[in-house]
Amino acid sequence: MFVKFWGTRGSIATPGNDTVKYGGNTTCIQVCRDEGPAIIFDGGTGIRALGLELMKSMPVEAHVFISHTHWDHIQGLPFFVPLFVPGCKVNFYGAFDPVYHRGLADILKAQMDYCYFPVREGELKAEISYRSLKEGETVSVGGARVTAVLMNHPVMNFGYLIEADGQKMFFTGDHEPPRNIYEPGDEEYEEYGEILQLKNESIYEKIRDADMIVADSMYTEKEYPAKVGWGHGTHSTCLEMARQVGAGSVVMTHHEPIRLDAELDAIDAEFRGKRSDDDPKVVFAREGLMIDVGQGE
Amino acid sequence: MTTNKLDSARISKMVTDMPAFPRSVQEVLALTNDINCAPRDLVRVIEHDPVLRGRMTRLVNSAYFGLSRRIDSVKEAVAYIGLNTLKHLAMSVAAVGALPKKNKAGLQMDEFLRDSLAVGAAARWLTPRLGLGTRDGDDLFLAGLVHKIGQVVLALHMPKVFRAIRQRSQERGIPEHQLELQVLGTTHFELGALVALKWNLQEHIVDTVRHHWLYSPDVERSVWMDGLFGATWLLSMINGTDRAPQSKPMPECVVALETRLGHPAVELLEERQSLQDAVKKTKAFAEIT
Ligand SMILES: [Zn+2]
Ligand SMILES: [Zn+2]
Repeated sequence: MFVKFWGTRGSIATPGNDTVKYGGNTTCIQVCRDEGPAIIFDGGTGIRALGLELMKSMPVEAHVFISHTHWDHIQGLPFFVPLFVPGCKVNFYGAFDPVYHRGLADILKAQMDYCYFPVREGELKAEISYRSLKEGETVSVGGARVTAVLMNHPVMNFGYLIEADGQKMFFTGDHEPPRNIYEPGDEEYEEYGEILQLKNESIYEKIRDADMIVADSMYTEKEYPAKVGWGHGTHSTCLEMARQVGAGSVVMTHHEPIRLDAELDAIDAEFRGKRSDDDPKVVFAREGLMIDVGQGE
Repeated sequence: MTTNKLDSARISKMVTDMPAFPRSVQEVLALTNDINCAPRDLVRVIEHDPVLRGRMTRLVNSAYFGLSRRIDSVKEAVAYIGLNTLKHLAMSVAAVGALPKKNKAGLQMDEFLRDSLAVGAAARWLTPRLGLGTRDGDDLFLAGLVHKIGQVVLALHMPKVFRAIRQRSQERGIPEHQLELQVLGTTHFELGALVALKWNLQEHIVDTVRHHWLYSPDVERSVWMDGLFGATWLLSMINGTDRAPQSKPMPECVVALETRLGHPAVELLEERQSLQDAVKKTKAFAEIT
């Protein structure tokens, strides 16, 4: 199984000379296998180019798993060409929004409201289906199994574990490791700490021994204190998660929009320098990168 | 109909006699309005109110949520579904739970609750269409829930007058608020706003309850007024006016709403299925809690 990155940026697209290496499109990841329909994680702006690529072999059957419906993860969908073409099939999967009581269909249709986009959802020509997944639910797609794992973000966010061809790959979507809401010394501090451990364990047990983890590493350790509660991880928390579950490699993605190529190069070099032998491989995602899940490169 | 004009002392007594908003609910609303609220404060308030705590855990463990493991405490709920989601749910659960469920005279409370929930749900459904975020959605939901609370005040304190107005309104097709003004010298919109004030709801919600349906050149239309107006109007379009007739919407209110939407309001009716689903889900949500 291979993974190809079509969008690696968090929050907003950042085209320009200084982001050309790691890429400016927002989150979109394609799972590439020898057989079976297209499996895609998230529909950020990167999905536009992927749609054009898929159109080269008609008819397209695509299964698009949406981690959550923040703009940077769905913004490319109205430009995903297979949606407009008769004979194509596109199946969407994602979390139900318990605050707005809305399923995925409602949210994505609202994105195509006439005031935002000139073509209405009802006018799309492909055969389209929507399925709201429950936590822990597994979907089979062309011999691959995709399982929804509830992560921690200001809205319901599913990470997706894909198991196929004897390999396991996990994509976190947007995720901030949950933190203790009490201070050390508070009566409840330890109790809450134990609850967090159980919560983390509920994620880890599903992704243990993953060959590869693709993780939201938006911030540096230095930036993080000002961003607590915004729902994103750091390069270090991602590496730590990969270590905890014994992953073969971790791919850092969802790059902070202000992060220029030179800075990402520097962080990459820093992590290479620190790496010990039994650490997972660390890769910084860049647009167009195709990685062998088993090899981590 | 005989007039029975209310003076301010009487109005104030009627409003004061309304059941208080449970203290924990007020605290939840205050905390959820504060973007920097400390998570542990929210947890403490919910934990200390057995009714609210029960409702929250029931909700989180319901099929509606579909979690794969059982959540036994409020702390666990924060850890599993995240603070932000819990915060918005707590706000909804608290607000729905605070509406009076019983009254002795005149007003069918079931019907009142159903209507209030429907308008709250429709207002929340409109939120993204007005370009607003989740927190504004909470405010609009709350405004929808309480927008007719003034009728509860009347039904409780002046059941005969309340029934007479309702009956006359239905017979003659005159909007209730016009009759209220003739008979009482005030409207349920005004009374509702006073209750909202007593309940310490935020000023913009109070103003929304007071002004959403009736345009006045002296009052600048807020996005919440437009939202609540839109919700009430949409539901009356979809359900027809089988109950107390609404007055015809004032053209100024429609214009204000359409300016916010960027398209004619009737286009919203093309999405009636999605709106009806939202209303249905909110009612189901209220039943679980
Ligand atoms: Zn994101
Ligand atoms: Zn996000």
